[in-house]
Amino acid sequence: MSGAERLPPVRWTEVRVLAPVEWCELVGEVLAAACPNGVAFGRPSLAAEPPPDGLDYVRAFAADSVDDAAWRARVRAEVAALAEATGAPELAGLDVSFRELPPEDYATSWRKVWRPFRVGRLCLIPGWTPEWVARLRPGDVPLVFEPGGAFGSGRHPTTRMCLRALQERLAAGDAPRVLDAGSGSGILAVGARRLGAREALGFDVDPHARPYAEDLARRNDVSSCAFRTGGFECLSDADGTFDVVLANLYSDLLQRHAGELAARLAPGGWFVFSGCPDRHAEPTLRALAAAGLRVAETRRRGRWLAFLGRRVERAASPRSG
Amino acid sequence: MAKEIAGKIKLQCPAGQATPAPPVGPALGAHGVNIAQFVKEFNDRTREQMGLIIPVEINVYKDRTFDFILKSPPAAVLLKKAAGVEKGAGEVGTVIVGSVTRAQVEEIAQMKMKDLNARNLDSASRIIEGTARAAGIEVVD
Repeated sequence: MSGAERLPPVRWTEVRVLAPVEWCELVGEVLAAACPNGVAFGRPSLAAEPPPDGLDYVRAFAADSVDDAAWRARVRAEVAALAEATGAPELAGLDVSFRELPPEDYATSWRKVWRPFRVGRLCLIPGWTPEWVARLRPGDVPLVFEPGGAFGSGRHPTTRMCLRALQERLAAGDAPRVLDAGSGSGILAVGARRLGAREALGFDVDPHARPYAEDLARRNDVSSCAFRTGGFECLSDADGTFDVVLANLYSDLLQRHAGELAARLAPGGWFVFSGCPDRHAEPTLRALAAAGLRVAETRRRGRWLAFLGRRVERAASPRSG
Repeated sequence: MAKEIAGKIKLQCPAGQATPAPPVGPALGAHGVNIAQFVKEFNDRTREQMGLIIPVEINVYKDRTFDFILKSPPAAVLLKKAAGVEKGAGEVGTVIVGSVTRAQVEEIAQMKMKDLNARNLDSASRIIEGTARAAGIEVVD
């Protein structure tokens, strides 16, 4: 093979053992000794048959360079020795099977399921397909993202409803200050800036979310878009009130923090609260009303609801941190 | 964010040294999860435990984002630590490399009960004892 040719991906052999649930960790230990890359527990895929009651799959993987008859015999012998070594008869006769996997470049193959997608005129484009930016229609707003370790890729109905409402309201031409409570990946705050907000602030209790959100802002050359780690306590008096408050949160959080959400909304400002399953609509609407938030419109996508509305004048003033 | 879980993935990976290769690749790739981001974050969070295998539970959400929690070390690791030995028996149950007390077994069983899916403490202790014997660690009174 010449140096210019790309090396084919490594071939892997899966070792699979169906073991009693309580003993899976020990079986995993034994397999890990033969396959030092690690061990997986559970069904190999969502489409696979679930294991019988009380049993689960333990799977480990070896590169084909070590997979030979002697290696397989050693693995079988180690698993077979477990019943006697532990004194646990339920470990006798465990089925050990070997399966050669088709070669695959796992570092990139997960991307196959990701395609650019559109929410209104906002076009969400995975970072490894930048060529799509050149194919946009006039008026489209690209938002380039790397999906990953913080919730909010734009695919979930609750996020889509927020993004859709945001662009409809921002189309009026004003350039509001936007607060994103529970900002996750930062997609709503960065999306708001891309759609015309003059400033956005997001916060999330997840300590791992902020770097993802800041990366999203950087990727899209968005300034005046900050993120903090924490709950409402990370906001101060100096942050003041916001023309728009977005919250894509579980309904229990919307209920618990309705007062704080209202306090951060400027008089006459509008909100989009998503993340409420339809069965929790009543208590959530009651909590919002009690906080002085008037819901003007309820939108539905599947079992998820989003509430759009305004603050009424009797809401409390901003509270300090 | 209103996170909706699509699935849970349980893995054990070498601390600080996970790669996109199996088991990570096939397990996460099937869900469209960003493998490079998982590997980077897992390695960052486990770097100080290099040399150990770390159990990790990954929540995959409906929008194909994820988060994960690191679980307690495998029972065999805790037993070796309790016995003060570096390595267990190379092959299952072949040599005795050290010992732990029954009280230590119970302590580990308490700690691991939830992760092992054991019905009760007796059941967890039996598994920990069995794990000790398989690793060449005697249980003494």
